[in-house]
Amino acid sequence: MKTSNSKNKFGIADLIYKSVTEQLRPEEREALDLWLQKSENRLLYRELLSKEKFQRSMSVYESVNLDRMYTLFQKRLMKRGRVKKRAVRSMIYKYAAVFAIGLLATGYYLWNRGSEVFKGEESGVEIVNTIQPGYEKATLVLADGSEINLEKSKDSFVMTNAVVEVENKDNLLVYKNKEGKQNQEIRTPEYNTLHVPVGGIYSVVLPDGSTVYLNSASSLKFPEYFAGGERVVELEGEGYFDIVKNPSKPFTVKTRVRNIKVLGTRFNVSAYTEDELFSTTLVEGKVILGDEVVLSPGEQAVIPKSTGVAMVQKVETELYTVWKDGKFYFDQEPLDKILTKAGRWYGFECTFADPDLKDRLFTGVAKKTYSLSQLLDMIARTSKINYQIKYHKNENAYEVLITTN
Amino acid sequence: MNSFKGRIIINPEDKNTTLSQHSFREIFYELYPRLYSNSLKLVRDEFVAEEIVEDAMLALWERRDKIGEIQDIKSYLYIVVRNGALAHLRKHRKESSQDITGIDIEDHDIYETYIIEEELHARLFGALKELPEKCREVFLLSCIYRMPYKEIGKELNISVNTVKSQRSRAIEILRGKLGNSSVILFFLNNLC
Repeated sequence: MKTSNSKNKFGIADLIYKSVTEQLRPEEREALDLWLQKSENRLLYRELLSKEKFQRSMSVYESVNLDRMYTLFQKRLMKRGRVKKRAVRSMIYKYAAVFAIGLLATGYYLWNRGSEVFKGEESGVEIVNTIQPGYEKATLVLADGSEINLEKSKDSFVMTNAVVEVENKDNLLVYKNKEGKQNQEIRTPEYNTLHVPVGGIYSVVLPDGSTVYLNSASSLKFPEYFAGGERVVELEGEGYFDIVKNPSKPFTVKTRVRNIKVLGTRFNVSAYTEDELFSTTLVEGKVILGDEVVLSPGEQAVIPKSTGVAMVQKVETELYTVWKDGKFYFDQEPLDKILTKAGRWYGFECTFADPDLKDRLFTGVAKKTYSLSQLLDMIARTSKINYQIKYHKNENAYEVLITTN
Repeated sequence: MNSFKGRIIINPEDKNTTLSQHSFREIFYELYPRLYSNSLKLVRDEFVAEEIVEDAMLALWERRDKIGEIQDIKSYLYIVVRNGALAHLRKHRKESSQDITGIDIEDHDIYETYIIEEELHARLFGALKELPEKCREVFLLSCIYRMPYKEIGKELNISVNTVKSQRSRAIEILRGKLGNSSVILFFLNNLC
């Protein structure tokens, strides 16, 4: 097949794609029209966009398990002994402007990986290529204990009762009080809890219009409407709060470590039970931590479990809030912290072959839609580390082992 | 999920460009489904189709140190798949007198339309995955299947106006995506 032909067929596919998505430039439209002048091409055009043809292709694409195929491919390479350990050769890794994908770090690309990925199986342990990120999956627990799977009830009203209706749309729960009702007169508010599992992210618009983004492995307990002179919610894990100002009804976030009182503001709270540090980062407005600490915008209060004493520091708030936009952001962060965060998203535990590796510092941005290997590759590329993703069949758990290269 | 915008060209100036394992994996993940689908249409046997694509990927892998000699990776892979399918079918025809495929893949024009189909469908499939669910259904019915708004409204139980707004939203989202450079292109452009 000649190149001109192959250009042509890819070109035609591109033109049709653009016509379907309405992205044709005038000269492209002309080219497509010209192609469509032939009746056989018009026929082909219609056929390609027919339900029958497209559905058939889609079902084939959907049937492909890429991770499995890639693993099989790697195994085949191993068997053939074609993967030779390549000589370590360094190359300067081209820099930044790396769109969102890049780790914003320099370093030398030390290439001798890959061949070590498939060492075979220990008993009950399988080496896998990657873990795909979890997607937004969450449940809502109502006051009576009944559970609603939000993944299954996408784009619909998940609940309506006398005082409130709850809509579930694009990974967002929206609580709306029914108009013209004096809620307090009907009954005291019931509490709902939004649970976001490992590998999820979900947000909720509370009845007062405030928005809370809940990070992976977190939950938020809140009333279906705010009665009386205050607004109180309870947080376990991490949340980003964008609170509507209402001086007559202060907002309080209860956590195991401290309560945070606010008027109207935007801030992040990280209160994972298993974490050594509790932290609150203020983006805008004013918050009061416990009774003792008042934060100003750009400040972060950190409370280590061991001392229980709050320390306030100036920070780049962006760092602590980008998770809500579906990104990981690290600034001179030690590897073990980075991998704890990543583990919450992808669902793995991390072990280090050499404890010194834990303290290696990294800076970078990564999208949460990446597969785990994409993230780990970015990190591995900038330093002499290597990784292995293990699946423990018996425990149904993933482990990432970090080794020196 | 990123998708290829057009062809992948690996720095044609440099015949000694090599393909890293990472880039190779990107290519594998991106192109495997469409090559498999293409292969399956030719040989109509899932197991054989898988094997043919695996062989093609292996051929690419073995040329990774001299990847610059391959002008266009995607065309190259399609050709290797086609040759693999042809070889299989010829062998098979010898064994059984019947023509089991029903299509003549040695016919160049027909094969071309197969590739157009695959490329178009794979990209549309990628586009659908970029869209939120409601949008996705409207895009599928309206833009791809070109059903009238009224019928779509009936089928999805939404108003014609909602159909229209979801449709524009879908197109807006996809337009935005077009500007994003793909991960793969980045790696391919930064190989050396």
